[in-house]
Amino acid sequence: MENNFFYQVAGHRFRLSFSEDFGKDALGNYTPFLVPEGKGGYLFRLSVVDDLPDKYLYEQVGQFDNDIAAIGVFKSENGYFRFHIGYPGSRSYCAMDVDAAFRVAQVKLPAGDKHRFFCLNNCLMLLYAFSTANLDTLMMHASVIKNGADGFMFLGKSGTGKSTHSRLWLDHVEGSELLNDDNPVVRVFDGKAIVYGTPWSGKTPCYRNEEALLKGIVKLQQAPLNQIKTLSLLQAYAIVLPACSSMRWEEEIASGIHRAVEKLIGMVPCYRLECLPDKAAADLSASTIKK
Amino acid sequence: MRIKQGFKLRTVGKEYIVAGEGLAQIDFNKLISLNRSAAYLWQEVEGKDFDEQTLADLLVSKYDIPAGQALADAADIATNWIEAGIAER
Repeated sequence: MENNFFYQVAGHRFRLSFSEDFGKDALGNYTPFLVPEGKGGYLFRLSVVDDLPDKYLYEQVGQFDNDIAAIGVFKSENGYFRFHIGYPGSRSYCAMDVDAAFRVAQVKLPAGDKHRFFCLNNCLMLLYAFSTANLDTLMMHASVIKNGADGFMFLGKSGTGKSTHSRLWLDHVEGSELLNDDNPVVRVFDGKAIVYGTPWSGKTPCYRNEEALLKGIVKLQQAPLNQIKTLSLLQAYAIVLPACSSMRWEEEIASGIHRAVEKLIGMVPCYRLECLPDKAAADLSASTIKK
Repeated sequence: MRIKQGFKLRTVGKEYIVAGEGLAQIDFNKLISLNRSAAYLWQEVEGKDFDEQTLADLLVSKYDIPAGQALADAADIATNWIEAGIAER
Protein backbone atom coordinates (compact mmCIF):
# COMPACT_ATOMS: atom_id res chain seq x y z
CA MET A 1 0.00 0.00 0.00
CA GLU A 2 1.32 3.43 -0.87
CA ASN A 3 1.42 6.07 1.85
CA ASN A 4 1.08 9.67 0.78
CA PHE A 5 1.86 12.42 3.21
CA PHE A 6 1.65 16.15 2.64
CA TYR A 7 3.82 18.51 4.60
CA GLN A 8 4.00 22.27 4.76
CA VAL A 9 7.24 23.96 5.77
CA ALA A 10 7.47 27.76 5.83
CA GLY A 11 4.26 27.89 3.80
CA HIS A 12 5.60 25.67 0.99
CA ARG A 13 3.94 22.28 0.59
CA PHE A 14 5.48 19.01 -0.55
CA ARG A 15 4.46 15.40 -0.87
CA LEU A 16 6.22 12.26 0.31
CA SER A 17 5.19 8.85 -1.02
CA PHE A 18 6.43 5.46 0.13
CA SER A 19 5.10 1.93 0.38
CA GLU A 20 7.31 0.28 2.98
CA ASP A 21 6.59 0.41 6.68
CA PHE A 22 9.10 2.83 8.18
CA GLY A 23 7.75 2.36 11.69
CA LYS A 24 5.79 4.82 13.76
CA ASP A 25 8.57 7.14 14.92
CA ALA A 26 10.81 7.22 11.86
CA LEU A 27 9.20 10.35 10.40
CA GLY A 28 8.41 11.95 13.75
CA ASN A 29 10.33 15.11 12.87
CA TYR A 30 7.78 15.71 10.07
CA THR A 31 4.67 15.22 12.20
CA PRO A 32 4.32 18.89 13.27
CA PHE A 33 4.34 19.84 9.57
CA LEU A 34 1.63 17.41 8.39
CA VAL A 35 -1.23 18.99 6.45
CA PRO A 36 -4.31 17.53 4.78
CA GLU A 37 -4.02 16.83 1.07
CA GLY A 38 -6.13 19.88 0.20
CA LYS A 39 -6.45 21.43 -3.22
CA GLY A 40 -3.48 23.75 -3.30
CA GLY A 41 -1.11 21.38 -5.04
CA TYR A 42 2.48 21.04 -3.93
CA LEU A 43 5.94 22.22 -4.82
CA PHE A 44 7.55 18.83 -5.27
CA ARG A 45 6.95 15.17 -4.74
CA LEU A 46 9.48 12.63 -3.49
CA SER A 47 8.71 8.93 -3.90
CA VAL A 48 10.74 6.28 -2.12
CA VAL A 49 11.25 3.46 -4.62
CA ASP A 50 12.81 -0.01 -4.55
CA ASP A 51 14.51 0.41 -7.88
CA LEU A 52 15.83 3.42 -9.67
CA PRO A 53 15.88 2.69 -13.40
CA ASP A 54 18.74 4.18 -15.41
CA LYS A 55 16.54 6.29 -17.63
CA TYR A 56 19.26 8.68 -18.72
CA LEU A 57 22.97 8.87 -19.19
CA TYR A 58 24.42 10.97 -16.40
CA GLU A 59 27.69 12.82 -16.32
CA GLN A 60 29.30 13.67 -13.01
CA VAL A 61 29.15 17.36 -12.10
CA GLY A 62 31.13 17.04 -8.90
CA GLN A 63 31.58 15.36 -5.55
CA PHE A 64 30.99 17.67 -2.60
CA ASP A 65 31.99 16.25 0.75
CA ASN A 66 32.03 18.00 4.10
CA ASP A 67 31.34 17.12 7.71
CA ILE A 68 27.60 17.51 7.14
CA ALA A 69 27.11 15.14 4.20
CA ALA A 70 28.81 13.61 1.18
CA ILE A 71 26.97 14.61 -2.00
CA GLY A 72 27.71 13.46 -5.53
CA VAL A 73 25.96 15.42 -8.28
CA PHE A 74 25.29 14.06 -11.78
CA LYS A 75 23.38 15.64 -14.64
CA SER A 76 21.92 14.22 -17.83
CA GLU A 77 21.86 15.86 -21.24
CA ASN A 78 18.18 16.75 -20.85
CA GLY A 79 18.78 18.48 -17.52
CA TYR A 80 17.77 15.74 -15.08
CA PHE A 81 19.79 15.41 -11.89
CA ARG A 82 20.97 12.40 -9.97
CA PHE A 83 22.28 12.88 -6.45
CA HIS A 84 24.21 10.41 -4.35
CA ILE A 85 23.88 11.40 -0.70
CA GLY A 86 25.71 9.66 2.12
CA TYR A 87 26.50 10.15 5.78
CA PRO A 88 30.01 11.61 6.12
CA GLY A 89 32.55 8.79 6.19
CA SER A 90 29.94 6.10 5.50
CA ARG A 91 30.23 3.99 2.37
CA SER A 92 26.51 3.51 1.76
CA TYR A 93 24.45 6.22 0.11
CA CYS A 94 21.06 6.86 -1.41
CA ALA A 95 20.48 7.67 -5.07
CA MET A 96 17.89 10.27 -6.03
CA ASP A 97 16.67 11.25 -9.51
CA VAL A 98 15.10 14.67 -10.01
CA ASP A 99 13.69 16.47 -13.02
CA ALA A 100 15.24 19.76 -14.15
CA ALA A 101 12.58 21.84 -12.38
CA PHE A 102 12.94 20.01 -9.04
CA ARG A 103 9.29 18.97 -9.07
CA VAL A 104 9.33 15.16 -9.26
CA ALA A 105 11.91 12.98 -7.55
CA GLN A 106 12.51 9.34 -6.75
CA VAL A 107 14.92 8.04 -4.18
CA LYS A 108 16.30 4.60 -3.50
CA LEU A 109 17.45 4.38 0.11
CA PRO A 110 20.28 2.07 1.18
CA ALA A 111 18.56 -1.11 2.43
CA GLY A 112 18.64 -1.64 6.18
CA ASP A 113 21.24 1.06 6.64
CA LYS A 114 21.22 3.03 9.89
CA HIS A 115 21.71 6.26 7.95
CA ARG A 116 18.71 5.84 5.65
CA PHE A 117 16.66 8.54 7.37
CA PHE A 118 19.67 10.81 7.31
CA CYS A 119 19.59 10.21 3.54
CA LEU A 120 15.84 10.79 3.28
CA ASN A 121 16.06 14.02 5.32
CA ASN A 122 18.87 15.32 3.16
CA CYS A 123 17.00 14.49 -0.04
CA LEU A 124 13.98 16.45 1.17
CA MET A 125 16.13 19.38 2.30
CA LEU A 126 17.87 19.48 -1.05
CA LEU A 127 14.61 19.32 -3.00
CA TYR A 128 13.12 21.97 -0.76
CA ALA A 129 16.10 24.32 -1.14
CA PHE A 130 16.29 24.07 -4.92
CA SER A 131 12.57 24.04 -5.72
CA THR A 132 12.13 27.24 -3.66
CA ALA A 133 15.30 28.97 -4.92
CA ASN A 134 13.29 31.40 -7.02
CA LEU A 135 10.58 31.98 -4.44
CA ASP A 136 12.54 34.33 -2.15
CA THR A 137 13.08 31.38 0.16
CA LEU A 138 16.41 30.42 1.72
CA MET A 139 17.30 27.17 3.41
CA MET A 140 20.04 28.21 5.78
CA HIS A 141 22.66 26.64 7.97
CA ALA A 142 22.09 28.40 11.28
CA SER A 143 20.80 28.20 14.83
CA VAL A 144 17.76 30.33 15.62
CA ILE A 145 16.42 31.78 18.85
CA LYS A 146 12.84 32.95 19.13
CA ASN A 147 12.22 35.66 21.69
CA GLY A 148 8.62 36.78 21.84
CA ALA A 149 7.65 37.30 18.20
CA ASP A 150 11.24 38.05 17.14
CA GLY A 151 13.86 35.73 15.67
CA PHE A 152 17.65 35.96 15.95
CA MET A 153 19.84 33.85 13.72
CA PHE A 154 23.38 32.68 14.47
CA LEU A 155 25.70 31.65 11.65
CA GLY A 156 29.09 30.01 11.67
CA LYS A 157 30.98 27.06 10.31
CA SER A 158 30.32 23.71 11.97
CA GLY A 159 31.98 23.69 15.38
CA THR A 160 32.24 27.46 15.86
CA GLY A 161 29.55 27.49 18.52
CA LYS A 162 26.20 28.35 16.93
CA SER A 163 24.37 25.92 19.18
CA THR A 164 26.46 26.96 22.17
CA HIS A 165 25.56 30.61 21.66
CA SER A 166 21.87 29.71 21.31
CA ARG A 167 22.11 27.77 24.56
CA LEU A 168 23.63 30.83 26.26
CA TRP A 169 20.60 32.85 25.15
CA LEU A 170 18.27 30.16 26.51
CA ASP A 171 20.03 30.34 29.87
CA HIS A 172 20.58 34.07 30.16
CA VAL A 173 18.23 36.02 27.87
CA GLU A 174 14.73 36.04 29.27
CA GLY A 175 11.96 34.75 27.03
CA SER A 176 14.25 32.85 24.67
CA GLU A 177 13.26 29.56 23.04
CA LEU A 178 15.08 27.49 20.45
CA LEU A 179 13.26 27.68 17.08
CA ASN A 180 15.72 25.53 15.12
CA ASP A 181 19.32 24.47 15.68
CA ASP A 182 20.65 23.75 12.21
CA ASN A 183 18.44 24.27 9.15
CA PRO A 184 15.86 27.03 9.45
CA VAL A 185 14.11 28.50 6.41
CA VAL A 186 13.97 32.24 5.82
CA ARG A 187 11.43 33.88 3.53
CA VAL A 188 11.69 37.42 2.30
CA PHE A 189 8.49 39.39 1.87
CA ASP A 190 7.79 43.05 1.17
CA GLY A 191 9.44 44.87 4.02
CA LYS A 192 10.08 41.91 6.31
CA ALA A 193 11.87 38.60 6.64
CA ILE A 194 10.35 35.66 8.47
CA VAL A 195 12.35 32.75 9.88
CA TYR A 196 10.66 29.35 10.24
CA GLY A 197 11.28 26.14 12.12
CA THR A 198 11.61 23.03 9.93
CA PRO A 199 11.67 19.22 10.22
CA TRP A 200 15.46 19.46 9.92
CA SER A 201 17.56 20.55 12.85
CA GLY A 202 20.85 18.66 12.75
CA LYS A 203 21.60 16.72 15.90
CA THR A 204 19.19 18.70 18.08
CA PRO A 205 15.63 17.32 17.98
CA CYS A 206 13.87 20.68 17.62
CA TYR A 207 11.16 20.40 14.98
CA ARG A 208 8.87 23.34 15.60
CA ASN A 209 6.26 24.47 13.14
CA GLU A 210 6.57 28.08 14.22
CA GLU A 211 7.84 31.34 12.84
CA ALA A 212 9.39 34.59 14.00
CA LEU A 213 10.12 38.01 12.55
CA LEU A 214 13.83 37.94 11.75
CA LYS A 215 15.45 40.87 13.58
CA GLY A 216 19.16 40.12 13.39
CA ILE A 217 21.77 37.83 11.86
CA VAL A 218 24.99 37.22 13.76
CA LYS A 219 28.06 35.52 12.38
CA LEU A 220 29.99 33.89 15.22
CA GLN A 221 33.71 33.61 15.50
CA GLN A 222 35.58 32.12 18.43
CA ALA A 223 37.86 34.66 20.08
CA PRO A 224 39.64 35.31 23.37
CA LEU A 225 37.25 38.22 24.04
CA ASN A 226 33.72 39.38 23.37
CA GLN A 227 33.25 42.02 20.69
CA ILE A 228 30.45 42.79 18.25
CA LYS A 229 30.50 44.80 15.05
CA THR A 230 27.78 45.87 12.61
CA LEU A 231 28.54 44.65 9.09
CA SER A 232 28.42 46.65 5.87
CA LEU A 233 26.18 45.46 3.06
CA LEU A 234 28.98 43.59 1.29
CA GLN A 235 30.26 42.06 4.52
CA ALA A 236 26.70 40.93 5.27
CA TYR A 237 26.42 39.38 1.81
CA ALA A 238 29.70 37.56 2.36
CA ILE A 239 28.47 35.92 5.58
CA VAL A 240 24.88 35.18 4.55
CA LEU A 241 25.41 33.76 1.06
CA PRO A 242 27.67 30.85 2.12
CA ALA A 243 25.13 29.91 4.81
CA CYS A 244 22.45 29.28 2.16
CA SER A 245 21.94 25.92 0.43
CA SER A 246 22.67 26.42 -3.25
CA MET A 247 24.22 24.93 -6.34
CA ARG A 248 26.04 28.06 -7.34
CA TRP A 249 27.10 26.67 -10.70
CA GLU A 250 23.41 26.38 -11.67
CA GLU A 251 22.67 29.85 -12.97
CA GLU A 252 18.97 29.92 -12.20
CA ILE A 253 19.35 28.65 -8.64
CA ALA A 254 22.34 30.91 -7.93
CA SER A 255 20.47 33.95 -9.24
CA GLY A 256 17.39 33.18 -7.14
CA ILE A 257 19.47 32.76 -3.99
CA HIS A 258 21.45 35.92 -4.79
CA ARG A 259 18.30 38.02 -5.15
CA ALA A 260 16.79 36.67 -1.93
CA VAL A 261 20.02 37.30 0.02
CA GLU A 262 20.28 40.81 -1.40
CA LYS A 263 16.75 41.60 -0.22
CA LEU A 264 17.32 39.93 3.14
CA ILE A 265 20.45 41.90 4.04
CA GLY A 266 18.77 45.10 2.88
CA MET A 267 16.19 44.62 5.65
CA VAL A 268 17.83 42.70 8.49
CA PRO A 269 20.93 44.04 10.26
CA CYS A 270 23.93 41.69 10.26
CA TYR A 271 26.75 41.52 12.78
CA ARG A 272 30.01 39.75 13.45
CA LEU A 273 30.40 38.55 17.02
CA GLU A 274 33.80 37.52 18.21
CA CYS A 275 33.06 35.67 21.38
CA LEU A 276 33.84 33.39 24.25
CA PRO A 277 31.31 30.70 25.21
CA ASP A 278 30.12 32.68 28.24
CA LYS A 279 27.19 34.68 29.63
CA ALA A 280 28.86 37.99 28.75
CA ALA A 281 28.82 36.99 25.06
CA ALA A 282 25.06 36.39 25.18
CA ASP A 283 24.53 39.63 27.10
CA LEU A 284 26.55 41.52 24.50
CA SER A 285 24.78 40.07 21.46
CA ALA A 286 21.35 40.39 23.07
CA SER A 287 21.86 44.01 24.14
CA THR A 288 23.12 44.88 20.66
CA ILE A 289 20.61 43.15 18.39
CA LYS A 290 17.51 42.86 20.58
CA LYS A 291 16.25 46.43 20.58
CA MET B 1 44.34 38.63 -21.19
CA ARG B 2 40.94 37.24 -20.35
CA ILE B 3 38.53 37.04 -17.47
CA LYS B 4 38.68 33.49 -16.14
CA GLN B 5 35.76 31.16 -16.69
CA GLY B 6 33.22 30.74 -13.92
CA PHE B 7 33.13 34.29 -12.56
CA LYS B 8 29.98 36.34 -12.42
CA LEU B 9 29.47 40.05 -11.85
CA ARG B 10 26.57 40.82 -9.55
CA THR B 11 25.15 43.87 -7.84
CA VAL B 12 24.41 44.00 -4.13
CA GLY B 13 22.49 47.17 -3.44
CA LYS B 14 24.51 49.82 -5.27
CA GLU B 15 27.76 47.86 -5.06
CA TYR B 16 29.39 45.48 -7.51
CA ILE B 17 30.93 42.13 -6.67
CA VAL B 18 32.49 39.29 -8.59
CA ALA B 19 31.76 35.80 -7.29
CA GLY B 20 33.09 32.42 -8.38
CA GLU B 21 29.88 30.70 -9.39
CA GLY B 22 30.88 28.38 -12.22
CA LEU B 23 32.10 24.83 -11.70
CA ALA B 24 35.57 25.99 -12.76
CA GLN B 25 35.62 28.24 -9.66
CA ILE B 26 33.89 25.97 -7.18
CA ASP B 27 36.80 26.36 -4.72
CA PHE B 28 37.02 30.14 -5.09
CA ASN B 29 35.60 31.24 -1.75
CA LYS B 30 36.17 34.98 -1.91
CA LEU B 31 34.03 37.84 -3.13
CA ILE B 32 35.82 40.56 -5.06
CA SER B 33 34.34 44.01 -4.81
CA LEU B 34 34.58 46.27 -7.89
CA ASN B 35 34.00 49.98 -8.10
CA ARG B 36 31.69 51.39 -10.74
CA SER B 37 34.32 51.95 -13.42
CA ALA B 38 35.89 48.51 -12.90
CA ALA B 39 32.41 46.98 -13.19
CA TYR B 40 31.89 48.90 -16.43
CA LEU B 41 35.18 47.54 -17.80
CA TRP B 42 34.25 44.01 -16.69
CA GLN B 43 30.96 44.15 -18.58
CA GLU B 44 32.71 45.43 -21.69
CA VAL B 45 35.49 42.80 -21.82
CA GLU B 46 33.73 39.75 -20.37
CA GLY B 47 34.23 36.78 -22.71
CA LYS B 48 36.74 38.67 -24.87
CA ASP B 49 40.50 38.95 -25.19
CA PHE B 50 41.79 42.30 -24.00
CA ASP B 51 44.86 44.13 -22.76
CA GLU B 52 45.66 47.29 -20.80
CA GLN B 53 45.20 49.38 -23.92
CA THR B 54 41.68 47.97 -24.45
CA LEU B 55 40.77 48.95 -20.89
CA ALA B 56 42.39 52.38 -21.26
CA ASP B 57 40.45 53.08 -24.47
CA LEU B 58 37.22 52.12 -22.73
CA LEU B 59 38.01 54.47 -19.84
CA VAL B 60 38.78 57.33 -22.22
CA SER B 61 35.58 56.86 -24.19
CA LYS B 62 33.40 56.62 -21.09
CA TYR B 63 34.98 59.11 -18.69
CA ASP B 64 36.77 61.50 -21.05
CA ILE B 65 40.07 61.41 -19.13
CA PRO B 66 43.60 61.93 -20.55
CA ALA B 67 45.03 58.87 -22.32
CA GLY B 68 48.09 58.72 -20.06
CA GLN B 69 46.02 58.62 -16.87
CA ALA B 70 43.64 56.08 -18.41
CA LEU B 71 46.51 53.75 -19.27
CA ALA B 72 47.92 53.99 -15.74
CA ASP B 73 44.48 53.26 -14.23
CA ALA B 74 43.95 50.40 -16.68
CA ALA B 75 47.30 48.85 -15.74
CA ASP B 76 46.36 49.03 -12.03
CA ILE B 77 43.01 47.39 -12.66
CA ALA B 78 44.55 44.61 -14.78
CA THR B 79 47.13 43.91 -12.07
CA ASN B 80 44.41 43.85 -9.40
CA TRP B 81 42.29 41.39 -11.38
CA ILE B 82 45.22 39.07 -11.96
CA GLU B 83 46.31 39.24 -8.31
CA ALA B 84 42.73 38.54 -7.21
CA GLY B 85 42.74 35.46 -9.46
CA ILE B 86 39.78 36.53 -11.58
CA ALA B 87 41.71 37.25 -14.81
CA GLU B 88 44.70 35.66 -16.53
CA ARG B 89 47.22 36.52 -19.20
